[in-house]
Amino acid sequence: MRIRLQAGEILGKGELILNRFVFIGLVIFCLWLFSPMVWMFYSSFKTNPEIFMDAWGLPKRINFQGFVEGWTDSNMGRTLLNSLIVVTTSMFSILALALPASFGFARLRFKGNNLLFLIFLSGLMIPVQSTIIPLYALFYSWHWLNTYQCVVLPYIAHGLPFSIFLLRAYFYTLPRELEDAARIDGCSTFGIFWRIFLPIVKPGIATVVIFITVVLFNEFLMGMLFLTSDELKTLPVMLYGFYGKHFSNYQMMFCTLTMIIFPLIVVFFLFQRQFVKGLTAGALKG
Amino acid sequence: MTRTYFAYFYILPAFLIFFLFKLYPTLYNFYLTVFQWDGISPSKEFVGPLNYLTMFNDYIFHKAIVNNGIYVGVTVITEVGGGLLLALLLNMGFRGFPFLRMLAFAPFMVPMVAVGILWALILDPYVGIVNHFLHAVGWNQLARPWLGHSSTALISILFVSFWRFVGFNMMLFYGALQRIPQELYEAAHIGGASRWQCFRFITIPLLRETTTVVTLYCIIGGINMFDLFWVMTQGGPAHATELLSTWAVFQAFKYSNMGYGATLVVVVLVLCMITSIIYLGARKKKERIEY
Repeated sequence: MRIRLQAGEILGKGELILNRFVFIGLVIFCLWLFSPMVWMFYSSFKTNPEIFMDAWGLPKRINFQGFVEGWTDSNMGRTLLNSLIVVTTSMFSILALALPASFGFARLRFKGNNLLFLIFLSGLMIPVQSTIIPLYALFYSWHWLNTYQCVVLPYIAHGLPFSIFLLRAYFYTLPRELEDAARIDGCSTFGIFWRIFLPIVKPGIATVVIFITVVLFNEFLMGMLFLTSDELKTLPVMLYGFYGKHFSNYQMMFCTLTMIIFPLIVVFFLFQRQFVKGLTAGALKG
Repeated sequence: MTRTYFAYFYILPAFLIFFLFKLYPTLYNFYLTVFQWDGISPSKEFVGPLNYLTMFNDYIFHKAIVNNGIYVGVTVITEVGGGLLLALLLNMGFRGFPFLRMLAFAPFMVPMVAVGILWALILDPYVGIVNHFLHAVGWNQLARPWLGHSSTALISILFVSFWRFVGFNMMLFYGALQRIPQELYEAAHIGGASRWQCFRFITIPLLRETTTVVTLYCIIGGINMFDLFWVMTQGGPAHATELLSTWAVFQAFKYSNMGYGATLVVVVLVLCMITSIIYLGARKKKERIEY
C-alpha cells in the first residue's frame, strides 16, 4: 500500500496503522454498496427453486429462461422505445427553448428581464407533486391521458427552470468584447447567439443534457398517473406495474431488473467522468 | 428600440410552456383546495376551508408529517454526514480510491423504482439475503418481513435511501475537496499549523457552502419524497410509512378526493418553498468564500 503524502505532511507510525484500518473499512463499505447489484446479477441466472433453496448460492448452470420470459412479459422493447421517445423529445425541446431564453436573460436588456427570470427561478422550488392533480384533470378533459404529449409537455416545463438557470450562468460569464467584436463585423443578435456563443457554452449544454436525461428517465409519479396503457408506459412505470403483477416470480423479477440495471452500470463505468461531472455540477449549480 | 422588442422572442416560447404546464397548474392546485371534486364530473362543490379543517384533524396527515420529518432528519444525518465523512476519508489519496468512489456512486445510477424493487427482494421474507444471513448466523428471532411490519418498514426504507444517496453526496463533497487549492495547506504547514488546525481552519470553512447546498437538497428531496416509499410499501403497513406525497396521491387518485389531495400537496409545496427561501436568505446574508 502506497500513501501519497499531502504537501509537506508526515505521517507518524500510529497514524499509518490507523490509516490501514480506515482503508480496509472503506474497501468493505464501498464493496457493500455495490454488492446488491452483484447479487441481483448472478441470481438472475438461477431458477425459482434454486432461488428458494439457497438465496446466496451461485447458479448451478447458466440459465437464460428468465431473460426471455422477462423481456416478452414486460413488453420491454416497446417500453424502452417509449422511454427513448419521451426523454429525447423532452430533451431536445428543453434545449431548443432554454438556450435562446437563457441567452436572452444573460445578454439582452429588456423590460421585465429580472421579473421573468425570478418567475422561472421560482419554478426550481416547485415539486412535480404540485402540478399532477390539475394536469390530470386537464388532460382528462382534453382526452390526452395515455398520449406521449401528456408527459412530454410537463417534462419540458419541469426541466426548463433548471436548464435556464444553469445556462444563463454560462452565457453570463462570456466576455462582452466577444459580442462587440462580432457586432462590429456585422453579426446580428441571432448570429451572435447561434454562431459565437452556442459553441462556447457546450460544456453547459452537456451538463444540462446529462442531468435532465437522468431526471426524466427516472421520473415515475407523473408517468404512473398519466400513462396507464401498456403500449405507452415508460421504463419506471412499466417496472412498477410488472412488480405488482409478478412479485412472486423471483426469477423473472431478477432478470428484468438485471436487463435494466446492468446496461446502466456498464454505461456508467464507461462514461463515469462525464456522468459524475454532469450530475454533481447539475446538483450543485441548480 | 428594436432590440427590446426582439428579446421577447428569445424568452416567450420557453415562458409559455413553463407557464402552461408548471406555473398555471400549481396555481390551479391552490384553487382546487376549496372544492370537493372527484376530478371527472363537470361540477365542483365549493366547500370553503373544509379540506384544510379535515386535514388538521386527519391523524394520517399527522403521521405523514411526522414520517416526513423523520425521513428528513435521519437522511440529513446519515446521507449528508455520511457522505461528508466518506469524502474526507476517500480524499486521503490511497491507491485504488478512484475505483472505490465509482463503486460508491453506482447506486445513484439505478432508477429509483428499480432501487425499490431490488431492495424489496433483498428484504423479502422468503428469498431475501438479509433474513438468510440472519438465519445463517443463528439470529433467527431477528429475521422478519422487514417491509411488512409497521415497526421495521420505515427504518428499512431509511436504510435503502442511505444506500442510494450516500455515494452521490460523497461525490459532491469530494469535488469540493478537490477544488480547495493545495497551496493553502502548504502555506499553513509552513506557518506551523497542525493537521487538525488545517482541517479546522481550511477544510471546514471551504466546505461550508457545499454542505449547505447538499443539506438543502436532502431536505427538499425528503419533503417531496415519493417513488421509493410508493414502490416499497405504498405507505403501509397501517400507514407506518405514509408520507405527505403518498397520502396526497392516495386521496386524489385512489379515493377520488381531488380537493383534499390538492390540500395535502399545498403542504408539500409550502414546506419546499419555505426551505428554499430560508436558504436563499441565508445565502444573501453570508458573504461567499471565493477560492
